[in-house]
Amino acid sequence: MSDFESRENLESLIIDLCKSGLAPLEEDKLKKIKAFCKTSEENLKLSYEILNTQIKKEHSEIRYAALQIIDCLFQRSHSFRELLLDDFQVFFELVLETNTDEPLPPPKKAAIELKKLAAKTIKVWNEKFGNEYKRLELGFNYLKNCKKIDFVSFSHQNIAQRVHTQKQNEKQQIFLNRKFTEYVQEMNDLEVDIKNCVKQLEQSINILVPHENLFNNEDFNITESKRTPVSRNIQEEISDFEDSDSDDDFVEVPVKRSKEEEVEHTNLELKYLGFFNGTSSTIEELKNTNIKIDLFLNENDENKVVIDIMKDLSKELKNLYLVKINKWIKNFTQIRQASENLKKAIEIKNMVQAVLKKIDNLNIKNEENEQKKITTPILSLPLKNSEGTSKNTNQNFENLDEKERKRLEMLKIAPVINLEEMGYLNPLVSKVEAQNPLFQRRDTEVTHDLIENAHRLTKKTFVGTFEPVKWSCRAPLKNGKLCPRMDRFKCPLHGKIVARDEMGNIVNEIDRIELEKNKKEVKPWEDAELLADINAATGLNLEPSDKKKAKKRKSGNLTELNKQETTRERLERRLLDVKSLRRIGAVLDAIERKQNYEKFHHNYNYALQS
Amino acid sequence: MFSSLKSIGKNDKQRSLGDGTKSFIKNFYAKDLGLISSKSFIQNSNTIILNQIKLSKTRSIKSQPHSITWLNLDNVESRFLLAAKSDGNFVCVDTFQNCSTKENLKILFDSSSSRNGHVHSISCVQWYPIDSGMFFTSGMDQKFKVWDTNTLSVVDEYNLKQKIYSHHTSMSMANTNKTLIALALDNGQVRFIDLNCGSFTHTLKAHNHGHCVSVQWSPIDPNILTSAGSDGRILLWDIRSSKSCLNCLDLEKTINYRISKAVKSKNTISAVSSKAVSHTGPVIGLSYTNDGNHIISLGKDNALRLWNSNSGLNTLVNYGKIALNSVVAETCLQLSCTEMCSSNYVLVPSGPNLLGFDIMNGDLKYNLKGHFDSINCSVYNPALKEIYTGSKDKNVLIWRSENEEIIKYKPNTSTHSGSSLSTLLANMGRSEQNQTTDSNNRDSWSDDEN
Repeated sequence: MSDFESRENLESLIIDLCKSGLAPLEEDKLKKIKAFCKTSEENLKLSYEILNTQIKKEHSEIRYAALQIIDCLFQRSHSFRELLLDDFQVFFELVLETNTDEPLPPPKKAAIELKKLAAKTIKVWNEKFGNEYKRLELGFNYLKNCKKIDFVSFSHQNIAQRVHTQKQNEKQQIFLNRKFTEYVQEMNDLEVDIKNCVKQLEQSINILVPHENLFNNEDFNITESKRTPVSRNIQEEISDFEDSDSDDDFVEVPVKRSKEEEVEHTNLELKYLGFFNGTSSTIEELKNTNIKIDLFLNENDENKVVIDIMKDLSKELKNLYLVKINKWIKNFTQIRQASENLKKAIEIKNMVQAVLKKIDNLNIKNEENEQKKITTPILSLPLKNSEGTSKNTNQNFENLDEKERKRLEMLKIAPVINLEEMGYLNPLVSKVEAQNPLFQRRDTEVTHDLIENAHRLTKKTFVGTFEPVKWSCRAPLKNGKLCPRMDRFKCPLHGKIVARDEMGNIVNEIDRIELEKNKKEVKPWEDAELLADINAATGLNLEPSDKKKAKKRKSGNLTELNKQETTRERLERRLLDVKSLRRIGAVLDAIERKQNYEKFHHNYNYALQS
Repeated sequence: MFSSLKSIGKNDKQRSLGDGTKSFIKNFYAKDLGLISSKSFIQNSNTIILNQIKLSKTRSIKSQPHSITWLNLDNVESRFLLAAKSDGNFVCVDTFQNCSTKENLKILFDSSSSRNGHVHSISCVQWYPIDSGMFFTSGMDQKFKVWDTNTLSVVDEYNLKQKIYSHHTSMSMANTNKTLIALALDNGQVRFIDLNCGSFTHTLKAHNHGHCVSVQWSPIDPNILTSAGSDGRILLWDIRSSKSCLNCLDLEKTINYRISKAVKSKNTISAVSSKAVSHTGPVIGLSYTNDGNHIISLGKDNALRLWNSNSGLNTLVNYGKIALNSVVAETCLQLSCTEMCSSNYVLVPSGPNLLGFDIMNGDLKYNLKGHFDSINCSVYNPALKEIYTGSKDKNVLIWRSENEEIIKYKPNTSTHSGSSLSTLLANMGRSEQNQTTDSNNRDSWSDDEN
């Protein structure tokens, strides 16, 4: 009886261990198995049988674990080795994918790991036992020579794949080399041009902003220079310049000096001279100084020409040359012999980037056009009320009261009917009709045009025009980009679509508050922080039991094979199920029917379905 | 006297001997006492040795760069083994060599260095039956070449314009002056080359609906030839008349079949029914037994059949279903039979395993697992009681009985002719390092003692 029980134990042990997925095997269970097999030959045979079934399962992680157990027993028992070597060929196919008709089962990652581990273990076995067991040595040689399994770097690809990747690499190298020669040529050609461009830009910068070299060092005081370097001295040097553009160019935010700041001045002075020894007081002082110097270069008629030239040149540099330089650098980094060219290219790039940075630092602003800039998106729909005039909602929107507002909104959606245009008033009477006595008017009767022409009344259907979706959510995502979902009202993940700036931050305070309000409420027993507090205070762990985790423990660490739901499947379930398709179909049919009726309802030859 | 036979095991130095060894020694004593004839002594000892056959650890042949397609031992002393490879080259090994463990048998010559080798795979190689100074190779490059062993050069070459699947030289060349070589060709014909005049003599239109896979001369009658084709038919020919074949081995015509007199009278000339088939698939292996009375054929219908070569009837010996690789090469597999055993076995390649069946009973005796890819050829060495197998996994494996005790056994009287066997065995396989390190062989549970 105990024999039977021990057998059952053994079986459950092995099966449990095989469920551990890619994690290393649990030591105590492994020891138990070893102990079992040590006792009797029968147990060893039994474990071999069980492992045989396990390693044939269609899940790579199970095979991986089974392989580890097999390795363990192989190293220890002679009879186990004999048993395995009898079925060695089958073993190869299951573990190393020697037969391409039977590839390793999913998951992919585990299959790759399995192959690597198998190659390593077989190598180790051969080194240890190859002398004794001829079939092991034969098998190893077979794998090495015939199946070309890589026992050096243990790549998981078989020979065909390796050859393929090698060919691809070669192709790529050839391509890179070709590009290399092209780029070297291009670099040599364009070097001169780029340098000219840079030179011109620097000269124009010098025209707009006087160069540092023009100032004498003695003019600078240590303290004051840090605050307002350029402005003070500009006024002194004005007379030296022919171009007087630079005079008015600098507008600065005035710096208020107070007594505290005088003290700070001396402190700073002392610090620069090295007398202060970095006590907190200095830091605090520095912290308190929050002076913002907002320098910018004003574009006006005087320097417009220069600035235009500068803009053109910098555009050229940025869009044309910089792109090319980046391409060169990318190519040169991939080729080993290109170090000199790489250095040259990097120099050029640095040069270009320095100039562009200087231009950026100039901060050219056109003050007049400032107000014209629109920084926030404004919701403005085209309006056409019955009079046919469009209204600018911006101006008067807030002034109207509720009713008016609603009316206006309705008017927006309402169809425009022009009776004259449609032919109800003063219709054209054809000649034939005019001759027909029945159609002629009797002068005595007074009829309304509308009634007379009732026969011409048509049923006009208004289906509406498709209003394209304009707004995208633009909420900031974790990877740095903005949410691209487009909707008329709200985004499924981020709530109501509101105006956001370039970084994704909400512009209007009101919207932000509303969005925050609508966030999901966290229930007190699920609040992690609160639970942590309680735990700290009382020592009670009030977390709810993890059903999911318990389930996971039951099935081990195995990755699910079936439940890999793709986005497409999820959407298909929503959109392509019978009910919704029927509904959509019905709506589309109705629209089409209306349109067709409008056109063909009088066509008695081909009657439409009612 | 007789009782001493029973007490052999106890007397012999008080060692515990295996059963095989005990019966082997008993055999010796029986022969010495005159209880059995020398022939049956030889047969018994062969049988005992062959019972213990397994993959040889001590002797091995180096792994080749290409898969082995055909093996042939020379007829004279069964010493030299020629192995044909699929790249058109071959190697020759001296099997009588002593080699220490872990050393491969030395390769005598390798035709890879020669420029005269075949361009494509060699399908068949065979020694000249009379001596080992010449051998023949035929290949898929449609050439049949005659080689001189000492200079390793091609003496004669025949271009057949057809792929040659097999060839066979008659073993009875020594007795008669016949020097005919039969070639099995792609278009189903069998052509003969006469070595004396150096040209083709005649052609047998053997298999019209497929290619001729194999030809075998009868070992006893110099004029009878058997050809096997991919249309599933095995035909018996008397080469003196090329008009029609003697017989087609029909799987339905069994030894239980009695030809009625009426039928006999009708079919006088051609007793061959065109619908007769030997196998329901292509035939891929053909061999005569060593006594020439039976023909063994292997077909792709997983059947191994034994035929009576005199009557052409199927003997209905049941060998079971032979598992074959579904993608078996077009060329035939080489079957071979053991000889001089009390009951001979036929060695059949079945996928990566070599099966050994008792010819007469159909019992499965061996299932030798050693190769990892399909075995192409197998040959039995009667002198050394070894089996050589060549396979697609580029190895030639040696199978022998490694019973140390039999090998080292030296009978007290060593002047009998029959004991040449034992002295030969004693010399074979004895290596300087007799004691293989058994340390790796043992279980090592030691690191569990925690």
